[in-house]
Amino acid sequence: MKPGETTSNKIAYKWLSYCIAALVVYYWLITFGLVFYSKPVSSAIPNQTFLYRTFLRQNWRLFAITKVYNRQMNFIVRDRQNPHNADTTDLVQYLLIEKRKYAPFNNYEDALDRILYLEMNGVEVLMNDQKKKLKEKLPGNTAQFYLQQASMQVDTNTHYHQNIDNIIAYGRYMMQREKKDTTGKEYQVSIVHKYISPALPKEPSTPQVDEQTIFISSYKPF
Amino acid sequence: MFNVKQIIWRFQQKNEKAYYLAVLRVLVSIWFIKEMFSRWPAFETLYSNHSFLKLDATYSLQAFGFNADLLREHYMVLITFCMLLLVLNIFGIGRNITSFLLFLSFTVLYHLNNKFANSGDEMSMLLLFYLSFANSFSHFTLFKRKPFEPGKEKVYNLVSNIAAYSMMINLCLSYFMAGVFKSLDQYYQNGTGIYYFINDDRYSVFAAGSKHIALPYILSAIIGYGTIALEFCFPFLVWYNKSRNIIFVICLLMHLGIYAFLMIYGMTIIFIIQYGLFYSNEEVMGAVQKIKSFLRKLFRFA
Repeated sequence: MKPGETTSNKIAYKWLSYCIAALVVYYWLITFGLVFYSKPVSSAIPNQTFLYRTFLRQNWRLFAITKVYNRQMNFIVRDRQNPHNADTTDLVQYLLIEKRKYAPFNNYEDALDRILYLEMNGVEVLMNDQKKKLKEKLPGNTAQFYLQQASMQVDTNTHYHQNIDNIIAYGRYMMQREKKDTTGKEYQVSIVHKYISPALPKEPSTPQVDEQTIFISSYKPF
Repeated sequence: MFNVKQIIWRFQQKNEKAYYLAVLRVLVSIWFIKEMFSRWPAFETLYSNHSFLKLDATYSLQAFGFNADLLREHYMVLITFCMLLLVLNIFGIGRNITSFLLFLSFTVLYHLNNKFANSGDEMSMLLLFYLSFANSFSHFTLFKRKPFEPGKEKVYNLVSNIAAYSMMINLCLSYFMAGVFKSLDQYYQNGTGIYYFINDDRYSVFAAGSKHIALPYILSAIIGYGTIALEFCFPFLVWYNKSRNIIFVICLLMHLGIYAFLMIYGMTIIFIIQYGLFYSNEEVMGAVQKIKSFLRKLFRFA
C-alpha cells in the first residue's frame, strides 16, 4: 500500500470510480438517445431532457438543410403626401453587404443576420398557419387573396407581433444609420423568396416561379 | 471484448492527453476572447434591455430562478465576469473551479439570447463543459500543480481521461449526425445540395447580391457526396493510426472551404482545434519538440 492511502480510502475511491463510470454511461445513453431518437426519449424523460438541453444542447445539422431561395425583406418608405415618391431598401442585402465588408470579424453583422433570419422564419410560420386556416374556411380563392388576408391578420395580431416588430425595428435602425429623414413618411414591409435557378432541368420540388411574396404589411406612419 | 474494469484501471494510471488538454484549454479560452471582442459592438443590441430589438431570454433562465430583466440591465457585469474567468482559465488559476464557473457563466449568457448561436457556439459550450472536469493544468499554468494523494489522483486521472474521450466522441457524433441529416435531404441525395449553398447569399462569398453561380453539376455532386462519405467515415477511421492523418487532412480541407467560401469563421476553428486530442501525449510532445527545434534553427541568427 502506498503511503497516505488507507484501506477504507482505497475502497471509497474504487467505488467512486465505478459511480463515475456509471454516470458517464448514463450521460452518453441520454446523449445518443436524444440525438438519434429525440421525440420518444424527450417524452420518456422530460426533466432530464430539459436539463440536458439547457446545459448541453446538441444539434448537428451543419449545412444539412438546403434552401432553394434567397430572401428579400423590402422596407418601402414613401411620402404620405406624395405616395409615388417611394424608396425601397432590401434589408437582407443591406445587412449582407455589411456582413461581407467586415468578414472575418463580422460577428455583429452575423448575429443580426441570424436574428433577422429567425424573425422572418417566425413570420413565415404565422403566415402559413393563417393561410391554412383561410383555405379551410374560404376554399377556392386565388393565392393573392390568401396572401393579402393572411398578411392582414398577421400584421394586426398583437399577440405574435414580436417578429414583425423586430424587422421594423431593424428597418428604423437602418434609416437612422443612413441618416434618412422619416418625417411625414410611412413604411411597408414585405418578405419575398427569390428562387435560385434549378441545378437540374427537372428539380423535383422547386417551384416554377422566379419569386414569391410571402408577407406584405400595410403602410404605417413612422 | 469491452472490459469496463480494465478501461477504468487504464484511465486511472495517467492523464493520457495531458499536454493537448492544456493546449485546448488555452486555445478555447483565446477563441472565446476573440469571439467576445469581435461581438463587442453588438452586446447592447444582443443583451441589453435598451436594445432596438426585443429579444426574449430562454425559458431555462427563468426555470433556474434567474431574473432575465435584471441580467439584461447589468449585462456588462456578466460579460466582464466571463472575460475575467477566461483570463484566469488561460493561466490555469482556480483550475477546475474556474473552468466550471466559466461554463456556467457562458451558459447564462447563452440563454440570455441564443437566437444568434450556431453550431460553433454549441460545440464551444460543450468543450467548456468537458474541460471543466479535465486535468488540463499539467502545462501552461502560472502555478505548478502539486499531485493529489495517489487514490485521489487516480480518480482525477479517470475523470480527466473520460472528459478527453468524451470530447473526441462528441466530435465524432457531430460529424456523423451532420452526415445523417445531409443524407436525408433530397437535394444532397440528388447531388445538388452544394450548388444551392454556393448560391445562398447568406453564406456564399460568391453569391453577393443574389448573383447566380453556375456551379457544374458534377462538381456539386462530387463535393456533396464526398462530404457525406467523409462525415459518415470520420467516427470510424479517426481512431486508427493509418487513416487518422488522411481523414484530418480531408476534414481540414472541408473546413477551409467552409471558412473561405461560406463565411462561417468561429465554427471552423472550434472544430479544428479538437483534432490534436486524437493523438497520444507522446505524439503531441514529439511534434512540439520538432516544431521547437525547427524554430530554433530558423531563428539561430538571433
